[in-house]
Amino acid sequence: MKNNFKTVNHSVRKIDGLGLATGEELFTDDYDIRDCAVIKLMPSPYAYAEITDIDESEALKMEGVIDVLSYKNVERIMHTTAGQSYPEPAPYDCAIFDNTVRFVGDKVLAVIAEDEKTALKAIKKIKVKYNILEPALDYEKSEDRETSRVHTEKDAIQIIPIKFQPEKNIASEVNAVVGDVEKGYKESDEVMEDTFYTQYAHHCMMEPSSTKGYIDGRGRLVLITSTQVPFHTRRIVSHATKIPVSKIRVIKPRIGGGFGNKQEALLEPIVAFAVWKHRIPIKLILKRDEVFVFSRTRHPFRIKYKVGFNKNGEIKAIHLDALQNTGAFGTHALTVVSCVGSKILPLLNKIPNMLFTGKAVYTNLPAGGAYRGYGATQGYFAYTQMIDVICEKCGIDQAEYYKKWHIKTGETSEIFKALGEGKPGHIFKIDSCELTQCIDKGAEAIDWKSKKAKYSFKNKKNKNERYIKGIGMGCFMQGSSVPYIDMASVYIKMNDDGSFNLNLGATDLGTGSDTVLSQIAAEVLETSINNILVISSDTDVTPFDVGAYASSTTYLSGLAVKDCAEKIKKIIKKHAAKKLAVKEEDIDLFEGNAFIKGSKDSCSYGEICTSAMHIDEMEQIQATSSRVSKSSPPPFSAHFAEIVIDTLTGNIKVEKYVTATDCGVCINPKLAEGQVEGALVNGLSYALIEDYSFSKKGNMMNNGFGKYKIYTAADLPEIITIMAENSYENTGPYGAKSVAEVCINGPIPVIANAFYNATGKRLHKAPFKPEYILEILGE
Amino acid sequence: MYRDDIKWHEIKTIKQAWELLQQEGNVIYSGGLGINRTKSEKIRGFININSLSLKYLNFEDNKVIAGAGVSIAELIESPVNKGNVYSYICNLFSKAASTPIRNRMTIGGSIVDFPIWSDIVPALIAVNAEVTLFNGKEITVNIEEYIQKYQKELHILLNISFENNRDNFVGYSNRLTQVRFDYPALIVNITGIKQDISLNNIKVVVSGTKSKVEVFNNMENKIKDNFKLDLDFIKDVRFSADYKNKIANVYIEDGLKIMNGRVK
Amino acid sequence: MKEIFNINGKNKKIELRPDSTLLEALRDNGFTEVKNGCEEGQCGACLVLVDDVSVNSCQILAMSVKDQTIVTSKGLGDQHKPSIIQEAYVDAGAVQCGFCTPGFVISTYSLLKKNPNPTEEEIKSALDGNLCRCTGYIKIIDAVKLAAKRMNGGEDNEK
Repeated sequence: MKNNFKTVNHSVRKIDGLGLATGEELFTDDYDIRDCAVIKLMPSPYAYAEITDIDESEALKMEGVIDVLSYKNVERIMHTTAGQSYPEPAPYDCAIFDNTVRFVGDKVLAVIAEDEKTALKAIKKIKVKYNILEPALDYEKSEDRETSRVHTEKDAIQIIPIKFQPEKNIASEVNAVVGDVEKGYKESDEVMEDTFYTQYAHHCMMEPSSTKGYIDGRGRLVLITSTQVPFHTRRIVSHATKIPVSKIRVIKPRIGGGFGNKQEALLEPIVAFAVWKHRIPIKLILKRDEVFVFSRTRHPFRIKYKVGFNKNGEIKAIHLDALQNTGAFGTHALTVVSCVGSKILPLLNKIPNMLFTGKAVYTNLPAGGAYRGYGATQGYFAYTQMIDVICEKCGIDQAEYYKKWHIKTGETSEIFKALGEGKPGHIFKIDSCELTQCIDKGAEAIDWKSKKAKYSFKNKKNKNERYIKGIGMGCFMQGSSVPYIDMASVYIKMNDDGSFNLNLGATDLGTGSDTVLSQIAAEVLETSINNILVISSDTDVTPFDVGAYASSTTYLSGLAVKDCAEKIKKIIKKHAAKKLAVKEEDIDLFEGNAFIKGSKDSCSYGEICTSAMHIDEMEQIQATSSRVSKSSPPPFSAHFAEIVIDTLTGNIKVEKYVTATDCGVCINPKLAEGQVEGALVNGLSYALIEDYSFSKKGNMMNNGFGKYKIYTAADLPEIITIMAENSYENTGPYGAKSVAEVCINGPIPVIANAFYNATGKRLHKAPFKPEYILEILGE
Repeated sequence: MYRDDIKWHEIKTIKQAWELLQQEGNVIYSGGLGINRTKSEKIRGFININSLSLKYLNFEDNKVIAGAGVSIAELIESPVNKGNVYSYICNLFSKAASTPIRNRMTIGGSIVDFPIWSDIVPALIAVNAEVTLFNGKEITVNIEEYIQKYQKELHILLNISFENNRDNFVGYSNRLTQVRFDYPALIVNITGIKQDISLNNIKVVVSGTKSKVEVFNNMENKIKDNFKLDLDFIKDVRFSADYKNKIANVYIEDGLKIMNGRVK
Repeated sequence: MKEIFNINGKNKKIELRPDSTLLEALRDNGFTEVKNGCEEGQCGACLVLVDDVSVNSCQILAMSVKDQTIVTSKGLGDQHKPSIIQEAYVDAGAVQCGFCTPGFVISTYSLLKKNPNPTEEEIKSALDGNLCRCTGYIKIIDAVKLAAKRMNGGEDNEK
C-alpha cells in the first residue's frame, strides 16, 4: 500500500543530531555543577566473602574526605535494581551496601571526597577484613548440594508469587506448557536433542554508567542520570533510601547508549543516599573497567532442545530448556529466561505440543541484566540450528521451510497466552507479518539457493582445501512492548506561534525516539517537525512512561503520542470552526493552517492559539494521553550469512551478511536501518569474539577495551540491509512495530548454520573463536 | 597519576636532557603514549625533548633516517618515492595500533618502550635497522644489539635508519589479532633475497614469545620438509600458548610459500 | 597551575595539574564535547586535533602540547555554523546516541584533509580508532562519503 505521509516514513534529521555532532548536547558528566564531590567505590577482591570489619578511621582523617559509606552506616533496605514496573518480577536480593560481597568487583563501600584524587588515596587507607567464602563459579553446578549458596540472607524476598528458592541457588523458575510433548514425541518419526552454550558479554555503550545528584533550592533531590528508566528509578531510589517520591526529581539528559545496561537503578540509590545525607552535589561516574564488571552484563545460558518431527519436516513436539547464569543478583532473571520461550516459540506457531522450562541460578560472578535481545538472542542459538538440522535431515530448503511454517497474519500462538512475565501472558493475533517477503528478498540478495548447493560440504570435491566457504540462514522475531504491563503517557500543549510542546515520559537513550515521536505528532497535527518541541524523561515535567526497553517506545509511546495529538487536533478544529464561523466537520488542517473545506479561507495555527489564549476562550490548548499496550506485535527478520573458514587457523571470516526486516512502517527509515545495522554488528562481534575471561577465582581478566575487543568499521563484512515493503501494523501508530532488538538474534545461529553448510559440523559454544573452531574441525 | 609536584623540564640540548635523565625520577617525554600507560608513581619530572628537533626524516645514500620524534604516521605518509624495504616497513607500521594512535606514537618511544605487542621493533629487526643513541656519547648500533643491551640502560634515542631499497628484496608479514585494532598476540616477519628460483638470506622474526622476540637468520639452511619451530609463547586472554605456536608455524609456512612465489 | 593553551582558535587560560591528560584538562575547563569513554586510547571518543592531526586526548599529557593548536569537534563547527562533516553525519543518519560522534567527526576531518577522495576501504581503515555501538558503522561510512562529496563541490552541496 502507498501511504501519503508527510513526516512519518521520511528520514527527517534527528532533532538532536547536530548538537550531538558538534558536542553541544549534554550528557550526565557534561553538566557543570560547581564543587561536585565524587564517589569512588571500593571493589571486592574476592568472589564471595563476608565483611567482618571496616576500619575507615585513617581515611576520614584525610583532608577532602567527606564520608565513607558502607553497611555500617547505610540502612539495609532490600530492593532490586531491575528497572521494571511495580511489582517487579525480580527478587529483592540487594541492599545499597551489604556486609557480604558476592563477586569480584562488587561494592564493598563508597568513599565520598572532594575530588577523585583524594577519593582514590582514601580508598587505599581503608582496612577491610574479610571472612572469605567458597564461591559458586560454575552455574551448571549451582544447584548441587556442595555448592555455596549465594544468598543466605534471611531478608531477600520475591514480592510477587513466583518461585524464588535461594536455598537452592535458584533466583527464578518458569514453565509453560502447550499440549503434551510426550504424546508429540510418540507421534514423531524422529526425536533428537542437543545442548548449546552462550557466553557473558557487555553492552559496551560508549557512555559509562553515570549519575550526578544535588539538592535544589527547595530542598529536593535532583538526580541527573544516564538511565533508560527515569520513573522506575525514582520509585526504586525512594524505596531503597526512604526519601519520599515527592522529594525526588530524576532528569535524563542525553544518554550515550544503553542497550539494556541502563535499565537498572544501579548507581542512583548510592548517589541519592549520599547527596541526601550530606546536602552537597555528588557524582558517581564509573571507569570503563568498572563498567565491565560492576554494571550489568548479558546472562550466559545453557539451552537444550528436544524435538520430535516427521519425515516431511513437521514438528510434532518441542521442549526448550533454558538454564541461566544470573550471576550474583537476580535482576531481570525471570524475565530474560521467559523471553527464551516467549520470543522464539511463537515463530513456528503450528507446533501442537510445546514445553518451555526455564531456570535462573545464582553464581558469584558479575550480575546479568537486560541486554538487547533479552534471552531470545541466547535461545535462537539452539532453536535456529534445530530448524537447520530438521531441514537437512528431511531434505527441505530452509527458506522454503520457514515460509511454510512461520506464523502468518491473522494467526496467533498459544505461547502468547501461556508465557508472560511472571504470570500468564495475553493472547493476540498477528496483524502484520511480511516474513515471507523478507525471506525471498534476502535469499535473492545473497543468491541463497545456488550458493547453498555450491558451498555444501556434501558437494565438495577437494576435501583438503584450506579455505572453505559456507552459507547459512535463519528467521527471527521479537516483540513490541509487554502487553498489559507497559504504559506510556504524553502531554501536549500549543503555543502562541502554532508550535507545540511535546512532553514525553518516553526515554530516548540515543535511538532517536524523541525524533520518531515528534514525527508522529507532526503527522497528526499537520505541521512541520520543527514546530514540535520535545522534552522527555524528566519526572517533574513529563508524565509517566515505563522507559526505553522491550522494544516498546515507537510502538507504545508512539500510540500515546498519536492519541494525544489527535485530541489536540480536535480542539484546534473546534477553535478554527468558531473563528471561521463554520462547523467543525467543515475544517481541514494543512501545513499549520485551518481551512474551510473546499475554500481558501483559513487561519493559521498561530492565530488560532493566540486567540484561544489571549482573546476569545482564554484557554490553553492542551491534552494528555496514556496508553497501555494490548498486544506485542513482533517484528520479523530473515538473515543470511556467507562465511569463509580458514581450516588451518580456525578463523571464521564473515564475507557478506544480509538482513531483511519487517518492522511495519518505518517512521524514520534511516533511523530504523540504523537500529538493524547497530544490532547486527553488535551481534557479529558477540558471535565471533566477545566473551568474559575469568580467573580461577572469578576475577574478570579482560575488563577494558584493550582486551575486550568489539568491532570497528575496519572489521565489517559487506552488509546489505533490506526493509520490508507494504507492511502495516494496524494496532501501531501509522503502521509501526518495533525494530530495536530483533536483529541481534541472527549472527550466532546464522554463522553456525553457515559453518555446518561448509563443514558438516555443528557449533555448540559461542563465541566462535579460532581455537574452538580448530577443536571442532579436528573432531 | 594525580601529582602536583611533577616538573616539566624544557631543554635545549641533548646534553641537558642527558644530565636531567641521570637524576632519579626523570623520564623522557616525546609522544607520551607509553608514559601514560605506566602511570608510574616514581616519576618526578618529564624531560620534554620535543624542542630537540628530532622530527626529521632524511634520505641519503639509499638510507632512510628517521629522527626519534617522527610519528609512525609521518614515516608512513612521507611523499617520497619509496624503495622496497621502506615500503615493507610502511606496510608493517600501518598495522600498528589505530590511526589516531599512529598519529602520536613516535618511532623513538616505540623502540625505547618496546612492549610485547610492538609492531615497530619486530619490523625494524626484520630489515636490520640501526639505532643511534646518546648515552654520554653518540653511538650507532644494530637494533638487535640495542634491544639486548642499550634498551635496558639509560639513554636518549636519536634516530633509526634502515635501507631504502635492497636488490631482490622480498618480505612477508602476518600478525595474530582478533580484530583490526588489536595488539598482536604474535607477529611473524620474514625477509629474504630472491634470485631466480632461490630464496636466500632468510630472516624470520617472531614476536609474542616469552623472550618478546626471537630472530632466526639464514633459515634457508634449516628449512626442510615438515619444518616446525617450537616457540615458547605466553598465553593471554585471547589465545593459548599452544595455539600461538601453531599459528606462528602456519604463518612461517605461508610466508615462505608466498616469498618463493608458489602462491601469489 | 594555570597555563595558556590555544584551543579552537583562541588562547585560553587553563587550570590543570602537571600530569593532567589533555582529556582531563579539556573537560575540566568546559570543553565537554571531548568525551571520556575509556581512558585507554581504545574508543576514540576523546579525539581532538593537535596541529590538525587526530590524537587520543586521554593518552597524552596536556603540558606536552602547550605550544600546539588544539581543535575539538565544537571548534570545527557549532549549531550556528556547523561544518560540512557535522552536517553530513546528521544527514546520513550516522548519529544515534552521539557520544562517539565528536570523535568520529575529528577522525573524518583528519582523513579528508589528507585524502579528499577516500575509497570505502580507506574510510574503514581511517575509522579504526573509533568505537560506536549504536550504528554498526554503515551510516557513519555513508556520512564520510557524503562529507567528501560535498567538500569536493559535488551534489547536495547546499547544506
